[in-house]
Amino acid sequence: MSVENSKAQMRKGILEYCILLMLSRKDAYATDIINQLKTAKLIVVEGTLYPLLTRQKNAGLLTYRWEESTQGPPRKYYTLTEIGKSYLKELDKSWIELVNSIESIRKSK
Amino acid sequence: MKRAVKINLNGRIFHIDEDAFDKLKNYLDTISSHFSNVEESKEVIDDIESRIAELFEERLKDQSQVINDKQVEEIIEIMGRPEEIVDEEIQGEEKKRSYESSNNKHRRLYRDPDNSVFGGVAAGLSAYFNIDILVVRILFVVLILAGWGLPLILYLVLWIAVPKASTAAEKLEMKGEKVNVSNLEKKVREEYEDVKENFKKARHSSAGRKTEDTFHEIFRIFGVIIVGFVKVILAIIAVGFVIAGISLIVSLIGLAFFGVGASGWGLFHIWDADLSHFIVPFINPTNLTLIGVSAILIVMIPVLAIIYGLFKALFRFKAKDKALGVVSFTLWFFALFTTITFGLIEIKEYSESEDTIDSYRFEEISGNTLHISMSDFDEDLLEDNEFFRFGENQYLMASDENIYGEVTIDFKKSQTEYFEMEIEKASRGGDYEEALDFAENIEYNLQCRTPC
Repeated sequence: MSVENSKAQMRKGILEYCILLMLSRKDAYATDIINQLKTAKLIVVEGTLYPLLTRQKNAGLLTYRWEESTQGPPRKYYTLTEIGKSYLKELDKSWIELVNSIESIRKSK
Repeated sequence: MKRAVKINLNGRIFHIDEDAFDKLKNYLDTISSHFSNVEESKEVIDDIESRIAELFEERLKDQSQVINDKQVEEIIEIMGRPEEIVDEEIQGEEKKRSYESSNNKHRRLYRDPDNSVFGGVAAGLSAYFNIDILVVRILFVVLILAGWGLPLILYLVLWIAVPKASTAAEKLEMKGEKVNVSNLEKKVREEYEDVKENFKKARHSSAGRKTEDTFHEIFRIFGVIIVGFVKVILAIIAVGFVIAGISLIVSLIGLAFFGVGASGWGLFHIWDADLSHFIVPFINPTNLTLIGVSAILIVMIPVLAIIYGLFKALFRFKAKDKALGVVSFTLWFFALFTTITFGLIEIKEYSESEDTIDSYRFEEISGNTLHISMSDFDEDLLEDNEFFRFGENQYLMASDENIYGEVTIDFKKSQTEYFEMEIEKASRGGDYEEALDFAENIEYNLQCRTPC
């Protein structure tokens, strides 16, 4: 049991939700997502993201297309599928519930 | 001074020094070995590679700069240790599934560096067969002593060919589940459960496909059972081949070193004689050795290659055996060349035949009856020595190193008024002169009661 470990466990749980959230705003390629997650301090090592993206893609939540880039080779742009959108709605609901219940626990005396 | 290599990461070329390259390659291999699903692994590795390419590009001043150890370490720091990447990948249901799949993984034969004395072959085998390492070692020593040191070659081949288990995943694989009948049954059952699960899902989604799915299910179970049986049968055949191959090699080596006696195996029983003993007077000893050794190599290398291939298939080890293959192929080709060359040289020694006739006229013999009898024949020769056939005639190889030939006698009407005798001596040789010389040197004993 350590604080760092607990923090990592917390981040882990919401990482999947965050990726779907970001992609629901705008299609993005992996480095975009990494930069956003890093700014939000949700991710420590970058490697974690790739298996997650592949898994979400294989689950049918995401798809990707190749897009030419001005610097370097083409990039994989990820986008939400219909399944992904409804999946995200479910997660949205459960997030609000989660926040509410945690807040109520925090504020109760 | 360090060597640098060129690598292609996601379509971009980078120069990287060797140590850094090894580190990077090892890193990517380790990540990929953690995935149970090959396609998933490839996809993730591709993504990670393209990100690493981006990171390198940000850090290099220009394209020709060589990436070093430190920069690779920095990248690994950013991307995360394989354990971090994979550990985070395993969540919830995934955790359960990948735990099962890693448990289901078939064993592979690796050398175990943690318990090794020499190359870790015995330790690897003990992990593979799940036998105590002491038993394997004793078995090895006994085999080596009993087999005149020959199994030592097997040990060396395994040492060279079997990869070392260096990563954690490989070590797990080394001790993974063994393939046997009960596992096969378990596997079939699991497949069946999977199919049932799929069937359930399909039924929920569309009731119309019900019958189709039942058929599908039955076929799949049949398929799994048949594949399982075929695998078991193939494994048995492979083991048989390995045993047959090993005995063939042992007998070939026996032939090479000791010759094969009359009491030897039926295969070489053609002349009713010691093969090496018979052949020696006829062939240049140096050439004979060369031809013998290379002929054995010609047979042995493919047999060894087949045994090796079967071993590889049986124990499912991944080997870096390209160099081994090139060396053996070269050796085989060289042996073929040697056999053909020296075989041709020896054949040329017998390419021409010549005969010579000794004529006798017995002017002193009167009367009209001629008595011919065999004289001074040493009966012991027949007892103690060996015969061989060559063409029409039978010959005898005596222990006094002489070769005795069979004589054919023909009676014809003489052209003159006397008894006459012609002795035709024939021989083969490298050219006419040599053949004639040999023919003239054939000795025979001729005695006349009356002077002749």
